[in-house]
Amino acid sequence: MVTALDPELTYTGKKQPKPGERDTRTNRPLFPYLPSKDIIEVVNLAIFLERPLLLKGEPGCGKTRLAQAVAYELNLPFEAWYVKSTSRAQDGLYTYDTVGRLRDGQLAANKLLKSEDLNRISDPVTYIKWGPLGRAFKSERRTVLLIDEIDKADIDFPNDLLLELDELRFVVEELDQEIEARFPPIVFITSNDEKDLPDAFLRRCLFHYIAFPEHERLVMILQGMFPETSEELSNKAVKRFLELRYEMQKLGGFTTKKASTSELIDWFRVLQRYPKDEALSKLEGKLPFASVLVKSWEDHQRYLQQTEPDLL
Amino acid sequence: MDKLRKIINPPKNSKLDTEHLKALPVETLVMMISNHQEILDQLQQQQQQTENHHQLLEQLIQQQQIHQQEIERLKSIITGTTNSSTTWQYSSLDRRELPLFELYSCLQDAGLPLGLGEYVQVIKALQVGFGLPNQQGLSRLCRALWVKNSEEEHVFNYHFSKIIRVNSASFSDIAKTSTQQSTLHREVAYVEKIIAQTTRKGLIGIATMSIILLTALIGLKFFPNSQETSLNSENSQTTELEETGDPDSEEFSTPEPVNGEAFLRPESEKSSQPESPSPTKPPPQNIPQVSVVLLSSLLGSMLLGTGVSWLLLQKVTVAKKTQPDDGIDSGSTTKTNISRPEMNTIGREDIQIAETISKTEEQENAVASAKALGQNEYFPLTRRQMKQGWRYLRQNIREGPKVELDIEDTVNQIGRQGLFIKPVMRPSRSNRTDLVFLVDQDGSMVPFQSLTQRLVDTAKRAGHLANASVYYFHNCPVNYLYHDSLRQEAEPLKSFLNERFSLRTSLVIISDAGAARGSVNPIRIKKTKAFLTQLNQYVRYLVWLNPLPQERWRHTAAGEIAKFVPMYEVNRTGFQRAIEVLRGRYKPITKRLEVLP
Repeated sequence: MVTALDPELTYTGKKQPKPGERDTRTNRPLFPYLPSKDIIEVVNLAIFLERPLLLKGEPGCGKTRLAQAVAYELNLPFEAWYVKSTSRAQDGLYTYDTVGRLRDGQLAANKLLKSEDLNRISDPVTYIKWGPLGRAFKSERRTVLLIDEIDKADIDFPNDLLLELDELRFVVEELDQEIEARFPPIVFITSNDEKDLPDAFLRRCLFHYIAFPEHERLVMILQGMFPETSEELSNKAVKRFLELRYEMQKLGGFTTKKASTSELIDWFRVLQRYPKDEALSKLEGKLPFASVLVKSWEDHQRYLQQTEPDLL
Repeated sequence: MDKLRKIINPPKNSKLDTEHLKALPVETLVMMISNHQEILDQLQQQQQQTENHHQLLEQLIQQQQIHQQEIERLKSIITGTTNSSTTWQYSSLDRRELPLFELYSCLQDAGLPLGLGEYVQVIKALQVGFGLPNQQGLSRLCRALWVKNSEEEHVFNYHFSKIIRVNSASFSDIAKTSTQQSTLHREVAYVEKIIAQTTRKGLIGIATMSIILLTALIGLKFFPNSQETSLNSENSQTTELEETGDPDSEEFSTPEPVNGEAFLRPESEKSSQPESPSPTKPPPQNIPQVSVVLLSSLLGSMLLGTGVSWLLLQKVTVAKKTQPDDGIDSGSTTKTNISRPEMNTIGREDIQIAETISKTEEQENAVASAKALGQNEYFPLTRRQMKQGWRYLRQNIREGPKVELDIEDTVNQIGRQGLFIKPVMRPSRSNRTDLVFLVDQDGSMVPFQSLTQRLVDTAKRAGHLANASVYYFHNCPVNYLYHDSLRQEAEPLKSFLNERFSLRTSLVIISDAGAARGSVNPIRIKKTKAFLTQLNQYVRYLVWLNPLPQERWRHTAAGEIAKFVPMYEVNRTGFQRAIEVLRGRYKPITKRLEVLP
């Protein structure tokens, strides 16, 4: 009963993509992801216990990217399911193309189909299109599955997934077949905490709240994404950013939207294009490129007018 | 075994003398050799078997030791000491000795939805090596598996610290790792540190300036006087200086390097004092002496004043620094006593504690929410029951234009007609419940504020309804309804009736209807009746929730009002009946007429 941790499936957070490396499937550039120790621990726990991991945190703190980073390091196939408000749980498993079947039936009835197609249409498997969860179950290896922003969907959505997540199997009624996962997928579920999730669903998941990183970690993240920039500039930018965040929190309360990690990265991307001295001087005065960080008119008025009296 | 014994202990008479052996023929000797050889082989075989048994025995003993060590290790983790001083009597593995079982059952009682599977998972993870190095790791492991939101986190921290028997210092360490609170506090602490540093620097600057001024003044005072004063006055002055010098040393001991220099100057003054006036013998002049004495005493008091105020300022900055830092030891908790009363009231509000910037200690939060979450008897309805009730009101019905393709019906139609002529369409589903709360605020409803807040909150957040809005009134809504709980944003009732309330609206009035006051107020009854008759024409379903139990309605306005509106108390059955009304199934209870004479 006691099984040891599989060394191949241990996430360390150390393997990072090299600069300029691109994703093999989508051909988009890859950036390093630097997780904190808590996150690494809980990811390994989820992998070992074969339970889904529910991630909550501020928008822009890197919940979605964690799943991609884990898939990259462990070199496993990656399936993503971006949930919409109209999503149904069934669509994630499979969809049955009834209209296509009807069309083919009509064509066959009118003798417009070739003979080799006739074999195809009599087998209902051709009309089954597997969704992300279905593909993860059928795969030959453990897949990393991301269910993004699950609280956007209706309340029935997580309730419908209970059996699938618990016992890792589902029934395809049209084929009268049960699909069981041979290799349990590593499931990451992200939520923006807009709506409560049902208790029966929460019981089956592990939970982790991704905290906003500290100064040192933010500097590391910036250095990782933009390796050519100087550390002094990163330090100064992070310091300024944290001051802004503190102001936002003090004035707005715990629940207002504060500037997040992804906004910091975008802001810094603009800032580092300037030569170092110019960028440093920009950081001294009024908040540069405020439109990247400050997103409401109130905040705009507040912060852009506040920083000016400081120029003493 | 007998055979073995016979072989090992051969009977004595079979042993022959070597003399007799020499007499025997060779064949018998050879036969005897083979006999002995056989016996030898058998003995060797037996030896090997017992050796195998020995090995097995050793292995068994080893396994036992390993498991025993594991149990010891787990127990030592729980007690927090590597050499557990408590004696654990365990002959058989009792329920009490299962690792973390106490914590698990405590959390279950506190209301967390934990099943046996969750406990087994924690044990599995512990066996493999998660959560081991220290209590923080263990706390993180349990939190990942057992805690699913911020309220439960408070409860968990509280129980964990209680059971794992740590002192208050490391409790706050564990609480520090609980992320949602610590992110807020960490950021605040970081920036406040910077602020504290700058203010301290400013204070040190002011202190040094004042010291320099004072020493200059004293020096000026004494140099002109040194020629005039006698030895007596010198002595008195030096003693004065010593007096003023001592407060110096007490107050300005901490910023040392600066003070060291400044301190040296009065010392040097003092040392130079006895030398310079000794050769001269000035005539005693009382008047300048008195003035000098007055001035020096004034200066001394000023010094004392600045020093004391500076110390106070330091204390405040230190307190501000340690407050958000959560890594506080019991000594410094006394410093936060200044703002404690405010913190208490904030902390004891409803469970949306995470949303308030409260610099309360983790313990205050945890105790408050542990009570509120654990003791379900405090609220007559559990949060879960409320949620489920509101969810029951969801009507995902198909309404409106027919835009969706109804595949099944189409296929059935083809089957019936034999031809595919036209597809069958149906309208799409939409979430159409419109729930409106009218909440009686202040006055007699003050004790029920948290209950109403919770009802509204669960409806908004967890009910998954299309619309859940709240409006406020006081005692009886006559002309205006308010958008906010402070009753400052008014809107005339007529605009509500015409614009906001539709024939789809389900209305819930939460009010004590005069039952809390305990008297029959005919004006109130009349006004409420008028209001309700008006409402009934504009709204689909209407129900009244009364926080007081039904026994208290008798002989009060509530009893009268209950006659012409479905009024229910806020407990499980009452709430369920209210939900039934809101779904359109109103069955007037004939029994109610019997209750109210």
